[in-house]
Amino acid sequence: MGKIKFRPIHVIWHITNSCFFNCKYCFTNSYPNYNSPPKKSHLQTIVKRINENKSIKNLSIIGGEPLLINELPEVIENLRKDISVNIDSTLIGIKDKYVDSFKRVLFSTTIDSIDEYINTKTRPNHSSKETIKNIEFLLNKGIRVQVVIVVTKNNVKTIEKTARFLLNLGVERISINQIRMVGRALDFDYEYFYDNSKEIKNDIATLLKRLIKEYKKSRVLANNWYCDEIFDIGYELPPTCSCALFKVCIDWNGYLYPCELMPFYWREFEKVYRFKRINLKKSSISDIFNHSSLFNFFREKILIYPPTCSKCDYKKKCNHGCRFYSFLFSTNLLSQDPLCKKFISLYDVIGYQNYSPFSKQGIKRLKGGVADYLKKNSKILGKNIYDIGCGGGVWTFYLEDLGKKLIGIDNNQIMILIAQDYKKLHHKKSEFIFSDILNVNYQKSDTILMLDNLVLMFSKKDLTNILEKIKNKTKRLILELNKNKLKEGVQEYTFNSFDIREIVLRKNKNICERIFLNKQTGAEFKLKNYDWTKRDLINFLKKQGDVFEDESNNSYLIRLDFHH
Amino acid sequence: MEKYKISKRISEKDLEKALSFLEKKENFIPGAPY
Repeated sequence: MGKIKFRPIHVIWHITNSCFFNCKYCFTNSYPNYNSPPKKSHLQTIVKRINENKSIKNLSIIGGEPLLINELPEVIENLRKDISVNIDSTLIGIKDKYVDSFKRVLFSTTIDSIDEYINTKTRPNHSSKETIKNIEFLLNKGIRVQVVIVVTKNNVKTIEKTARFLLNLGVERISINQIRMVGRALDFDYEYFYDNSKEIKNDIATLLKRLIKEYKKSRVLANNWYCDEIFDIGYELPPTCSCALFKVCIDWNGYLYPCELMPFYWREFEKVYRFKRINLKKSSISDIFNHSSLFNFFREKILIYPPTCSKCDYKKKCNHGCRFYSFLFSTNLLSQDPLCKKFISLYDVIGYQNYSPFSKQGIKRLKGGVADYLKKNSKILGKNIYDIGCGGGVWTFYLEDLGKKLIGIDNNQIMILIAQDYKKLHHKKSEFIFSDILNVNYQKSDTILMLDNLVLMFSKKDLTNILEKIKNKTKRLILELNKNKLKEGVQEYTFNSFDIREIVLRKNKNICERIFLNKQTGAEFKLKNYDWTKRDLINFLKKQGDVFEDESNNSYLIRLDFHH
Repeated sequence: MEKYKISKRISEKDLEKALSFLEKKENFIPGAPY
């Protein structure tokens, strides 16, 4: 890039992943006695690495519970004096510490409700009264405090009361946050706790306006809401994610990462991208930041707008969503943040995993009947193949490994990005085109594949146009048609770890409308499906050439050899 | 035919804004994505 020199300015240090509590939605998945306490020499190494990097200006010590670290006052005292320090803590036990060493610290804490009963529903065993006493204790000592209130269906009625109480106490800032759907938040009883409705967003927006007007001395913020109105009132975010540009994260073992969520999902990330992480015992922050392939790769991704964000007015308000969050849902850092409700695609609702060559689910499909069929018919397929609706290239790469020359086509940009990443990282040769099927300028090929029930997306007229376009360019077309017919009604199932509610409405004899609702993220997508039966499809194709039938456990495989 | 093209890069101006945001002291809110 041009003038700007990327350098670590903000460090997030997960000093421990143990905590006093086991909060229902903890995004760092911390709980009591998770890890043994760090050695003093380890803490000294980290402090030394932070101090020697002169570009670092802010340090956030989070966890787990930083107050579990006995040496915390010493850590703070040994940090360079020009570094501002923020500690995220429940504040339990703060009075037993040497508080004078915390004079330079801004404490962040979380209280879901000043009503103890409500608070303990999401934060079991946590006493909001005790935390409030400790806030008062810190404020009396002249130590600043900010408080996060995480909104759930459980505490929604006491948000205003809690916010006002805290602001009247004199806290510096409050932030009314939506749950961050990572870590334990993905597993808990979200139907009971997670509220993503328009009503709640409107209520929060109205409350924010009122509090901002009334409490001029404190800051009132809101985060993670992905809602136009709240963006305009309570957000204070930079226009882009700062990971690997100006921000780094240290985990409880001393490894350095470009993103604060990465330590918790390192195995998943490593499996896909195969990077090595480096420990601060071995290298300085500066060396890792400037020279490691992990940081360089991540930085390149952060410097690009996710494709779905490029036309959105709010991209600079939400900093294009959280890239790592996107990765967790799609195996791609440039996909849309799953909590963003703009420009939603089917994959944003049901997940990308089944169609990604990086994911377990994608790889699992290579052991099914379709793979056997393709292998068995390898000679018939010929050398040059188009894979229409290729997704992330699961079948494209499978066939490349059988010695074929492939071009994959998909009209979902994220899928093409996943395929491109896989191609680069696994040194594959297949080409990928981001396009609608009918806009492609097809070259001569032996076979065109249309797998994964793609045919249901097309009417007779659509299919006629497609056949017209390809029949002089290829020798054959192979279609996969699922054996399970669409049934009208509501069904609920788990797909790619998401809880999905699918509603099928029959519009007429041949057309069904399918509505997919992701119960975790609240995302919804409507899809029109043409209800092809095997017999209808074969009769239709017979007009174009010779038809051959085969089948796997779940689907029919229908081959059309064109008459030329 | 629209071949996949990489999306736009973040502008220098936005990077400068992000930089000055982080340079401000104590801008950190736990659980907020940046």
